[in-house]
Amino acid sequence: MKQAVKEKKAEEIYRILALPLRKLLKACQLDFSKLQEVRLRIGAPFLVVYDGREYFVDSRGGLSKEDGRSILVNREQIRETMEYISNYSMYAFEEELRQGYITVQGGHRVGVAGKMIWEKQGAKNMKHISFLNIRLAHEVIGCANRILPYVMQEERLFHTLIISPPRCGKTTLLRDLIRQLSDGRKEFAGMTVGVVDERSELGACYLGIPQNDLGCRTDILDGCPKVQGMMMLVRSMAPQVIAVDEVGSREDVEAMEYVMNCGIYLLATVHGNSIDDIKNKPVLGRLVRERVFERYIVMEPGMVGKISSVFDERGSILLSCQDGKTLPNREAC
Amino acid sequence: MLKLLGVCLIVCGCSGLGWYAVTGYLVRLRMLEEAEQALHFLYGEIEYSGCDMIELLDKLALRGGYFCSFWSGMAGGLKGYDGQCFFKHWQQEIRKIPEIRNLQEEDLELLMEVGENLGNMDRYTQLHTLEIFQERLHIIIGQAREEYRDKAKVSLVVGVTMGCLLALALI
Repeated sequence: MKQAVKEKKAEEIYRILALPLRKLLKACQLDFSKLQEVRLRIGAPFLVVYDGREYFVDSRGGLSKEDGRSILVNREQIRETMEYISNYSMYAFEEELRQGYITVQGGHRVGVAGKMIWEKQGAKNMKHISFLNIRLAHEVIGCANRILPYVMQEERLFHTLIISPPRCGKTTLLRDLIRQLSDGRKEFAGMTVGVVDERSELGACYLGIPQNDLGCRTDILDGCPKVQGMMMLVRSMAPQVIAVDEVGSREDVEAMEYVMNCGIYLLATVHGNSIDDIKNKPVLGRLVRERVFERYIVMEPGMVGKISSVFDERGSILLSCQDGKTLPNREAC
Repeated sequence: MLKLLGVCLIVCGCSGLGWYAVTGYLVRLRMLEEAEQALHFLYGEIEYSGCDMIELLDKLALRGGYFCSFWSGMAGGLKGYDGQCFFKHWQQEIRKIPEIRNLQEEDLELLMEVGENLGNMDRYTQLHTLEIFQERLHIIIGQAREEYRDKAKVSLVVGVTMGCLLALALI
């Protein structure tokens, strides 16, 4: 990762942390391309997930595996952090709080937990926020190079579903796929891509301008619910491809079918470990059984950014990478 | 000749003092009206666009006026993420407004309360709180208008009269 990008990412994370925590994290001198999570809990140690492992941040500004040396996060630090995360505007993030997360500048997602306020219609708001999980978004340019030949053949894109457990890089992969399809390559011309970025994670728009590179032919509907967003894009922006992150509900599936029936290619991601997991999902499973998706990209559980295999609509393996070994008659990663 | 010049200077000086007082009332009125417009703007933007405070303050700063430096100072301060809460920034910046001396105690109190209650509430409560401040400010502006009507003429007349009397007494 370029130094400037690393510094930008570091600045985006530092600025949302309470001043005492910021100083400690700065003293750690971390490589932000390896930092995955920052976890804050009232009365609990200051934790980071770095290079795939969990560490305590100690009071001298170092990483430690022993919790005895870690500083404890207090209520004031959580309150200050929340002020920065919300840009001093809690009223502007009500909907996000209802869903349990806020996306900050740079596309980083902050999970929040505390006391939920419920009413008949569902979650109304959240108060006494006491737990924060800052998950860093990583833009990995070129990470979709490997799978591009499998999802795009002779100027034809396949309806593609990326299957991955949380924290394995499905959003990062989708982002790079969008960028490459939008910009085009020697083998194919760029396509008009419409992105419904409900959680502002793909484009990470700030004041309407994408902070991540999604290509020159990409239109982004930022902060828009997926279902409405897909319909709006079809009607207004004439996309050739529509990309959405984390689908799953009945409404999402109906909207995806509508998009595909309009002759638009679809790229989507979903939580899961395998195609069988998706088959067992009540609504999305039907699309798999009906072979609506033509390509499945499965990410390796527990391995950030590692593609496990690529399947076609019948479930035949097109590409497989297991423990670095090549399967017979399959292409190696 | 010298006496005449002295008389002129005294009358003009006292009238100037009277005029200065009139200007003070007028500036207070204009500042309160500007604050009312800002509250309307905040209400509308929070209700319809859901912009965050920094964005709103930047937009307010672009409108110019007596509070221009205040809004831009606030936005700049908040962007520093320096460990100070919103209200602390508000308190600091409000004291830097050059024309702040024209405001009365109750005006300042209201402005401080606005700062204390911005940004830390849910949308519904935030809008309701802004409504209350708008109503209170509206009443204060009504009083300031009356005060201006009553006191402006008096201040000017007293200034000129005092000048004349002083000149007569000194002659």
